[in-house]
Amino acid sequence: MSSSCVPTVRAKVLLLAILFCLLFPQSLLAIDLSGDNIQLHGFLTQGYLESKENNFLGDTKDGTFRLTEIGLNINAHLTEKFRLGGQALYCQLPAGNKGKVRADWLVAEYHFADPFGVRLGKVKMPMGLYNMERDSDFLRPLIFLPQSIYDETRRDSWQAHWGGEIYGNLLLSHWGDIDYQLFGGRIQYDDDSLATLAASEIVNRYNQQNSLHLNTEDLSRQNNYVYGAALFFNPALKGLRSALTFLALDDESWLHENQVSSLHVRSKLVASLEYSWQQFSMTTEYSETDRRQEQFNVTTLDGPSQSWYLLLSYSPIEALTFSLLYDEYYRLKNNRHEPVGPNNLYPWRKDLAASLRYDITENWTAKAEWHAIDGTAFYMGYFNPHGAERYWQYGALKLSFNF
Amino acid sequence: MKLKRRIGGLVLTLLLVAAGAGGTEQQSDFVMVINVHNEVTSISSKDAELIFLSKKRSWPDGKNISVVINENQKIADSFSHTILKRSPHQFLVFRKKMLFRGQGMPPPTLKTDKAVIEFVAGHVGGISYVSPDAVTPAVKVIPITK
Repeated sequence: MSSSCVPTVRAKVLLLAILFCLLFPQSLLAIDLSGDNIQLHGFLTQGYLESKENNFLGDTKDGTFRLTEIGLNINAHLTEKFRLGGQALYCQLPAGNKGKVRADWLVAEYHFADPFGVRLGKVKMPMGLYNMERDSDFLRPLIFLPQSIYDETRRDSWQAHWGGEIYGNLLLSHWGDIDYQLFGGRIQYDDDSLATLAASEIVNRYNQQNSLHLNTEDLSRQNNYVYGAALFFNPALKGLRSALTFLALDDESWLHENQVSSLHVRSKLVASLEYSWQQFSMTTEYSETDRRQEQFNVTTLDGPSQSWYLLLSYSPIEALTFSLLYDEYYRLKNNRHEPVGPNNLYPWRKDLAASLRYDITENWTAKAEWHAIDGTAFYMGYFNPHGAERYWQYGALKLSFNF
Repeated sequence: MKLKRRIGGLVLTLLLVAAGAGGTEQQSDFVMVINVHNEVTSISSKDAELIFLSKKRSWPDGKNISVVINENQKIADSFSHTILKRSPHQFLVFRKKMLFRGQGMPPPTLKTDKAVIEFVAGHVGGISYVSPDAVTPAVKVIPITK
């Protein structure tokens, strides 16, 4: 699947460029690729991750430096209203993401008017306050965002889609303004994404239960559709920001002609509130994901999960921020403590974390954090095949450079 | 020569005072400047905020707005807190978010009032902010209304 992605991506970019040039032929007459109309930027991050009692996202109990992100983007305003841009991303996590360079986003944008513009291509998906900047460490408050909403195992899956969005800004008189996005398309999963690898666990379990020998190497995962909307309200009150985001999607995993699993997300709703006052800031988000999951045509999960977190930060000086996080997730909102198989006896996740962020310069950022966890939600059975402990911890260090 | 400079300074001060009268905010640290060919005569602080956050991209006559960010330390802090309701660091993070999310290109930045005035004078849709004492006839000062 991945090897075939490269020409597909190129073909789509070419198609988009041609389409825009055909739709807006006047664009070609005003091309100016000099000066401020073209920009090149990038970033490089290197981290260290170590966990106790359980592995987290791979083999981490002995520590790992497999926590690297390198991004390079280019943007060009071909006319005042038409922009082409793309970002290549190399991402290495403790498991999965085998260090391939992939298109992080790749957009052709036409800004018709302030309340209305269009982006086509591989477009970042809004989900909560932070989903769109998950690949840029220096833009996140923490190395690992609250996992209840920003589950790291789905980071590469739910961050962007191939399709389009309309976006804009609406002024609400003296009340403030609203940024909105409406999007739709399909997600292209890579074979080495964590969620795809974790799906192999389903096949292995099925093999054991039925004395079969299905080969998980041929497992493929596809998305049938994703659509959603986001509203970001910027009220007149200084320091306050709120958001409401929604998405729905449909996924399937296949092994040759056999459907291994399916995931139908009826709705993922995230309500967000952020308030900054002097040296303090408070961020909280609440989310429910109503979904149905089937494995080998048997419904294994049907209902909403529940997630919320509270992040309190204090910055004695602007460059230095101390944060405290409490983050809670339940796999099933209405049945919080029922075990899910022998490897997931505690299908919740309660995370108490402390973090430190230091912006050394405009271009360099250092972060450190420690998390104490109760629960084994989010594929902990896959990362700990011999059983996951209920109480466990992990810490991380990260240094980022951007330009 | 000195007399000319003094008269020039006095005229400029009177113009700024006049521009600041009638329900406008007093800005002691910076003034908003646009291209002399732009027919706009004033700007609301909300519009200025939206323009510098790249959410408002055209003038009322449909012309594209060309923003340039003035990094002159003397006024950047005041502008950022007064108009954008955020610190210069938060403004920088905002621009980086826009860039790395794939949502747009942040406006160019220049380090001196002189360079900013040259940019605004050279772009018909240009807008920025400079120290009051740096204003030259090459640009037009517009008052910021509430």
